[in-house]
Amino acid sequence: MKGGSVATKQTSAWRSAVAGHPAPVAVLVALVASLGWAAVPVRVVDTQVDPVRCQVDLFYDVARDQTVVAYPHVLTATFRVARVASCQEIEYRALYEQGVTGLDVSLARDSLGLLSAVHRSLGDPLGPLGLRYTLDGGPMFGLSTIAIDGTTKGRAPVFALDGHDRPYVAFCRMDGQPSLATFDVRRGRWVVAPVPGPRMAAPEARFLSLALDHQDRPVVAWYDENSSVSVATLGSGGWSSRSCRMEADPPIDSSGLCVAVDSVDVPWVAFSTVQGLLVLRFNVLNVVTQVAAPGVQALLSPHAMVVDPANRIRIGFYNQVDRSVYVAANDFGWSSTLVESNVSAHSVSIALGSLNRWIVAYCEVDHQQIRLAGLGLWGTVQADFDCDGRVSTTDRDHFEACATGPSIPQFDANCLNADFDRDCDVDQDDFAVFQRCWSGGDSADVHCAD
Amino acid sequence: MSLPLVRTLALCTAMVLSLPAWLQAAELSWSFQRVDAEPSPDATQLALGLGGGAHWPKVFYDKTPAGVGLKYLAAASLKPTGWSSTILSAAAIASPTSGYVGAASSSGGAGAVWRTGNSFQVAQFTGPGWQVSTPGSTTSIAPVHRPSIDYGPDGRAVIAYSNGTRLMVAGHDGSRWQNDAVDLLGAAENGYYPSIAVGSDGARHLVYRSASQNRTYYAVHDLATGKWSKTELSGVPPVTAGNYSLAVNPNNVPSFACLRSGTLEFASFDTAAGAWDVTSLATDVDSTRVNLAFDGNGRAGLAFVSEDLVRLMLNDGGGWTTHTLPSGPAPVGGYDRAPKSNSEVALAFDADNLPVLAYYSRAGVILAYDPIVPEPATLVMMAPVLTLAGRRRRR
Repeated sequence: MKGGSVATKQTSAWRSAVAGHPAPVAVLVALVASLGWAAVPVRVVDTQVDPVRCQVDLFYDVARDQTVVAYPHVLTATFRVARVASCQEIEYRALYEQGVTGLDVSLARDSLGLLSAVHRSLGDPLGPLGLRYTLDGGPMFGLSTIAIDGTTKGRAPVFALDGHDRPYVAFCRMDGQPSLATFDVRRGRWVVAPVPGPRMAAPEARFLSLALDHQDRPVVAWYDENSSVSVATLGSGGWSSRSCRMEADPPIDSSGLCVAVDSVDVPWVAFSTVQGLLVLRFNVLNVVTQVAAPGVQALLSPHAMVVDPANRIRIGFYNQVDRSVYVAANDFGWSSTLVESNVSAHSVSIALGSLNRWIVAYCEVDHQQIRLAGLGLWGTVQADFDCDGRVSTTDRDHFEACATGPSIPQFDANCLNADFDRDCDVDQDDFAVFQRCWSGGDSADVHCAD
Repeated sequence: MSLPLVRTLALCTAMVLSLPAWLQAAELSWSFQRVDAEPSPDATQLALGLGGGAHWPKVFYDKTPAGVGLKYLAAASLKPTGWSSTILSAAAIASPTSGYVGAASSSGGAGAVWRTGNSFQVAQFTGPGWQVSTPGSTTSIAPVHRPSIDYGPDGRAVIAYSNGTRLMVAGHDGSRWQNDAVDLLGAAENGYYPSIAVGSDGARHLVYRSASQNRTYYAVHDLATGKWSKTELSGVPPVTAGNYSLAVNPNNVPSFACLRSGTLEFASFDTAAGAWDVTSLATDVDSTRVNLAFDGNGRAGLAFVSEDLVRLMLNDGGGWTTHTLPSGPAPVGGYDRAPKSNSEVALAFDADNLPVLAYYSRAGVILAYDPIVPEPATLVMMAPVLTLAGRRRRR
C-alpha cells in the first residue's frame, strides 16, 4: 500500500504522555493491497462486480448505525445489499431472487426501517422491460418485487420516499420525456405522468435526478434538449418549472447530473462542464452559478449530492483528469477533499453517516470492487481503534504510532482514524480528544468526542 | 348578465337541487380495491385503521387459513407492492361469533383490539412486524363484553372492556398496560358494549350499557381530579344487539352512534343547551355494527349496509346526507362489490379528510375510497362555461 511512514520526531511533552507499555500496535482497517493512495479511510465492500454495468446507491441507517449499499453483483447474478458497520463483518443479502437483475438501482429506507429499491429491468419473469419496485419487508412482508405499471422501457430511475413513506420514481421514457411514477394509495396502484418540460437531451442514465424538499414535494432535475438544465417541483397545485440555459457552457457528455434541496427548499443542481464542476442554485428570482471544483472533468451519479442539517453541500465525484475520487464541500467557500487517487472509478454516490459526516460509495473498475470511503464510516467512538468497546492501552499504542506532531501530514491511511480534527496531522489537538475518550477497562462514552 | 346566461344558471341550479341527496354528492369515482379474496366465509365484522400519518390503510378481518378450519384475526396492509396479509391472533378467535375486532388510527400508526378466548389482545405495527400484547381478560365471552380501542394524543392505545364484573379501561404507558376499573361515585361499574374515545386533550370518554341498571350511560374521566363521572342518557334505549360507537370531534365534543336491532340513532352533546340531542337516522340497517368517525374538519361519518347496498352518511353540520356506493362488478378486476347483507362497514378518514370504507362482499374484503366529490355549487359554477361553449359552436 502506498503512503508515507509515521513521523518519528519527538517534539512535545504530550508524546511522552502517550508512550508507555510496549503493547503491539493495533491496526483497525485492513485494506486490500490494490488500493490507491487513500486520503480518507476506505473499505472494500465487495468484489466481482460488473465493471461496466456497475452502479451503486447507499444510505445511512441511523437506527442500526450501518451504511447500506446496493449494487449489481456478477457472481450471484442479482442485486446485492451490503450492510457495513464499523468494527463488524459486512452482512450481505440478495435484494432479489437470482436471475432478477438490471441497472440503475436506487435505494430508500422508510419510517419503519424497511428497505425499498427501484431498478431498471433487463429482463425478468415479472413482465416487459421497465422499472421494478422492491420492498424488503423483513419477517412481516418478506421480499417482494413488482413491475411498475406504465414504465415499459423506462430508463434511469431515481427513487425517494417522503415522510409518509410514499414513493416517487423519476425516470426517462423511451421518447426522452422525464416522467414521475407515484403510488396512488386510493387506487392501490402506480400512476405515471410526464413531468412538464422539454425532453431530455439524451435518455442517458446520468442526466436525470430527483430529490424531495422539506414539504415532501418531489423535485426533478434534468438536462434537456434545449441545452438547458430544467428543474420541476410538484406541489399541491401542480408542477412548477424553471430552467437555466447552458448552451454557452454545456455539460460534458459523460458528466451526469444530480440535484439536492437545501433547508429553504431551493434546488441545487450539479454537473460538469469545461469549466469544471458547476453548481446551479435555483433561487426564487434567479439562478446563481458556482464553480465548485475548477478544471475537473467530473463524473456524477444521480445520488452524488447531499445537504447536511447545517445547509452545507457535499458532492461526490470522480475526476477523469487525475483519476481520483473527491468530495466537494462548501463549508467556507468550495473546497474538495481527496478520497482516493490513482483509481478507475465511477458511480460515486454520497450519504451522510454518523454525526453527519459524509460517506461515499463507488465502483472501482480495475479490480471490480465496490468501495466505501469517508470518516462517517467510523462508529460512534472514534478513539476505539480496535473496536472492543473501550478506549484502552491498545488504542493508545495505535495513536502513539500514528502521531506526527503539528502540521506534519499523516499519509498512512491506517492512521487517518487518529486524525480526529481532520487537519491531516495527528497532534496534541487530536490527543486532547483521545484523552477525553479514554475509558480504560470501562465501556467508552459514545459522546466523548463531541 | 345576458338572458341566455341567466337562463342557463337557473336551469342548472334547479337541476342540481332536484337531485336526490345521494346523487347530489355525485359518486363520480369511488375507487375500489380487493384486499383479500378469501376471508372467513361467515365473517361479518372487520375494522379499519390508517397508519403512516393517515395515508396507508390497514384492514383487520376474519380469516380461516386453508386446511385449518378455525377463524383467526388477520391484518392486511397496503404497500407499494400491493396488499400483504398476515395472521395476527396466535389462537383462533371465538367461534362461531367473531372476536369483535376494533381498530383505531393515530399519527404514528394503526392498532386493533380483539378477543381470543377469554383474553383481550392488542396489536400495533412496528418495523419488524406486529407487536401483540394482552392488556386484560374476561370471565365471560358473551358478545356484551366486546372491547373498544382508541389512541390518545400521545399516540398510545387506550382500550375499554368488561372483565365480566367490572368495566375496565387500560392504557399503555410505553412499557406496559395499566388497567383501571371505572369507579363511578365510589362504586365499581360493570358495563356492556363499551365504546371509548380519547380527545386531543387526553380526556377519556365512555359510552356503555350499565349491567346493573340496563340503561345507556356516558362517562368522562376528568384529568384534573382523576375521577370518572357519568350521565344517564334516558333518551337512548340500551343496546341489546348492536353496538355503541363513540367519537369526539376536533373540538373534543363527544358524539356517539347507537345501533339497536337495525335502528340507528345518533346522539351528540349540545354544548349550548348542555344536553344530549338524539336523532333517529335509519331503521333498516342490516350491518351488525356501525362505526362513527370524524374527519379533521369535524365532519361526522357513519357507514353501514342497508338494502344490499353500502351507505355512507355524512354530516358537516348542515344535516345528514346519504351516499350510496356503486355495486356490481368492479371496473378493474371485475369482482363483485355488492356487500354481504350483514357485513359491517368500517369507516375512517384519511389525511385529506376523504372517507375510506372497508366491508365484506361476496368476492372478499373490499376497500373503497371516495377520492373527489364535487359540491353541488361546483356544478352551478360550470354553467357559464357551458354557455360560452354553446355560443362558440353556434358561430
